[in-house]
Amino acid sequence: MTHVVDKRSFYEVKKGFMSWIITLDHKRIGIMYLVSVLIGFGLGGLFALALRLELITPDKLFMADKVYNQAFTLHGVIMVFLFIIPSIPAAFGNFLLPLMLGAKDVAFPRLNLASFHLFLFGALFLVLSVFLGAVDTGWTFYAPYSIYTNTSVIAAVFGAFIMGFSSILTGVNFIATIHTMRPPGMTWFRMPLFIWSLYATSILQVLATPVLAITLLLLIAERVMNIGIFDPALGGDPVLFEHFFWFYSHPAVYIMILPAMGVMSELVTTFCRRNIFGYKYIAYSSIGIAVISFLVWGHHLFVSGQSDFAAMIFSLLTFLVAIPSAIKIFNWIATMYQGSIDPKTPFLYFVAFVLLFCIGGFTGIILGSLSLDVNLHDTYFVVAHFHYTMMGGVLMGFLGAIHYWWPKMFGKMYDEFLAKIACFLIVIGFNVVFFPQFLMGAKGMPRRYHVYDPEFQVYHVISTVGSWVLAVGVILMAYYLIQSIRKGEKAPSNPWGALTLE
Amino acid sequence: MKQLTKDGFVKHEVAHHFESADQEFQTAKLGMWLFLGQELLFFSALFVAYGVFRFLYPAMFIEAHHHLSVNMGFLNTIVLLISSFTMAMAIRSAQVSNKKHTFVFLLITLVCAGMFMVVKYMEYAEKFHHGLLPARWFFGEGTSEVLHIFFGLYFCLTGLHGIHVLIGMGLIIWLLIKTQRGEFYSEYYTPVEMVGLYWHLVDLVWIFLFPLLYLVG
Amino acid sequence: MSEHHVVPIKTYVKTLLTLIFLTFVTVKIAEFDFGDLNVAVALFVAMIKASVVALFFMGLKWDKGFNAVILITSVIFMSIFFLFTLGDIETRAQTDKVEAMRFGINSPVKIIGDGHSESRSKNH
Repeated sequence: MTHVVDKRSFYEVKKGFMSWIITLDHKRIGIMYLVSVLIGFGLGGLFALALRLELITPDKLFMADKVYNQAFTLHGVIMVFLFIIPSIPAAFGNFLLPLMLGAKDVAFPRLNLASFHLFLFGALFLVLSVFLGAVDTGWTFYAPYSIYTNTSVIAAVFGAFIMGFSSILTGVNFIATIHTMRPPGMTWFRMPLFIWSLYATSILQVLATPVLAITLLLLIAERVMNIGIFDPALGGDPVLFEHFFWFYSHPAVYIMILPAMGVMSELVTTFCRRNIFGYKYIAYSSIGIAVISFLVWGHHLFVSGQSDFAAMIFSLLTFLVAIPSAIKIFNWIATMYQGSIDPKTPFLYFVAFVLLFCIGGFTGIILGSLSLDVNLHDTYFVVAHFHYTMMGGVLMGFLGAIHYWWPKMFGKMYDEFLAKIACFLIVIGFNVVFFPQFLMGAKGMPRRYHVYDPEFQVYHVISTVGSWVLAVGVILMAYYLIQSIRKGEKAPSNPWGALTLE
Repeated sequence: MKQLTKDGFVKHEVAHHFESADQEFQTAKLGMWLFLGQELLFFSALFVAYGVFRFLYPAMFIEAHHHLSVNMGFLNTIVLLISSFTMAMAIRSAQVSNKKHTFVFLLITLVCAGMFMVVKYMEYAEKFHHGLLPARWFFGEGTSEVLHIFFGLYFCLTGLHGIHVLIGMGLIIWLLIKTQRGEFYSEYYTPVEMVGLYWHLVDLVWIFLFPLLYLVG
Repeated sequence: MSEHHVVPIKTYVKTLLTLIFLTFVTVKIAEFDFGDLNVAVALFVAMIKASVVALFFMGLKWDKGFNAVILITSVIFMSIFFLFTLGDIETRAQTDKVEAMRFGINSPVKIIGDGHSESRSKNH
């Protein structure tokens, strides 16, 4: 734990704004990412609260239909591109990867800084697009609507394109680091599982993100010069856009969830005081998820006009994802067995993750089966499903990671009691928001509408109230975390008795 | 002040976080290969789109490719192959610390790249003249009503490839300057090797573009 | 780094000559009609050329194995992308037919028409 010495120095060795913005230190870059994604999370959260408030009545409350469309698009775009994708890999990955490996830095520190600058630059374009007439296509930018809407699709898409490159370069950097920067003795199967999950994530970033980049570029080309490949009026095929988009975006959901799973593997070992059960299987299952994730994108297209044959194959392959995911869950549970469990806040987030991710995963199987999806597609059932995986999975992982590594990153302890309360509020609030959405989805409430049949109002009201509970939890968390930086106790070098190198 | 080797080259300092020059070189190369893998996937979507529309409108593709000049495409293929060869030779010259040869071979590569772009310009000018353009500006004549799709794809594929060539030219100019300063020698030639790999990839993409666009049978 | 493999000039010259020869083959072979196999044949020759470039010019023949793994992996994932998407497109005409026949659905975004024919572009 010699790093405490140079950790103190990494805040104090240089001061001032410029010393941060041109730093090559992976720890500072990690912290900058963390601050950026938290801002993204705050923004996306505000949009979410506004949407929920609008939906409290079946008629228009304060948003016109077009404004509502723009709001849910921004909520999606911000949460996906500014928060979830960079959250764990870029923020915690940068900070922890070299420390956990025992390397001095990532392989290409300058490239690392460049990815961060690209990320900011892309974010700038997204912000710009809000002022140029916010996009109203949904975060998926489906053609042909995205070709013809008169909102600023080009600026938003270009922002996502640039952020894609930021993500690719981070992936390149991590894979190179893991391959060549391991000190002698750190063999593949002695690496912490968090590193394994980052490795799998990086593979996805390198192989899938370029397809998103070219898709978005083609969309821009389509808007600028009507190349005609996505536009049915010109003989093109809009379903092709969906193929292109989901070839990236399905692996992307694993770019989001895999690092969270890696965090979970660390948390469960530390707080149960046991070695992880089935280390190799968890490591391999990360790679397995990464590979399978490329074979299933068509399950987003079941009702989009894809052929029956393709839909059948994709449905079949979709079920395969359950296997490696289940391997992880079973191994975590087995690790807890007979461990001396210490229910500190990060561990509570672990429990929340397993619980919520299982719900998200099982409903995923429901949606993956062809005949059920035809009924449930584009209803709130889908909304609830991916919020259970994205928010119940990734956000819980992210919050677990924040609470677990906070003392490491900032050298201060937070208030454990308030942290537990906030955790309960967040988990309960989350369930109150999204569980009713399964019910109304199954009854046929379609997504992306701001007016709806009064029959569904009761569910929407419960859901909106839940969003307030959730917000209170998040605000409480922000409060005690800021307090801990201002006047928290100094953290010991290894507050949780963890076994990994950092 | 930079140190010089006894042959007059600028001595390379290994970055602080690497153990050895070899580790640094291998890491850079691995990173570059990952980047190339990314590039392949980047182009793949265009090839998929090509495959899809080729399947949907086979007759249109055969009609459209008659508007492209096989001779021009052939010429460009040969030019790019030669430039790949000179690039490989430039790397080899750097490996044996031959500054003069490195410079000359890089220069030939740059000239070839320039030639490629000139031929490309002539081809583009001809398409513009006949209105064989993406749908927004299309005014070409043909029996098929979806001819613009082929040219939409054509301009996307060759345009993106052309942008890669231009970026490559910029990188080669950067290498020329560094070579002139004497920064590359047998113990340090990583940038030459990296740009070389990139340049070969540009060549690889063209190897596929040529038969697919110009020689549709 | 003196231990790096320095390739003899002769190898590079031979590589270049092979590639130029293969380019002639590419052009000549396009003059024959193999029916549906035309693209496959053209791609096959292009694959050989690409492998030659990768092995000799890019030095994979003498390189660490993992760099080749990266290249091959990328190609595999490209093929997955290609095959699955084409798999959809090629079987879509069948779906459209069933929908029209059994349920009387005539989707306005039916692009595929009858697969190989250009019926759509004509009545458009």
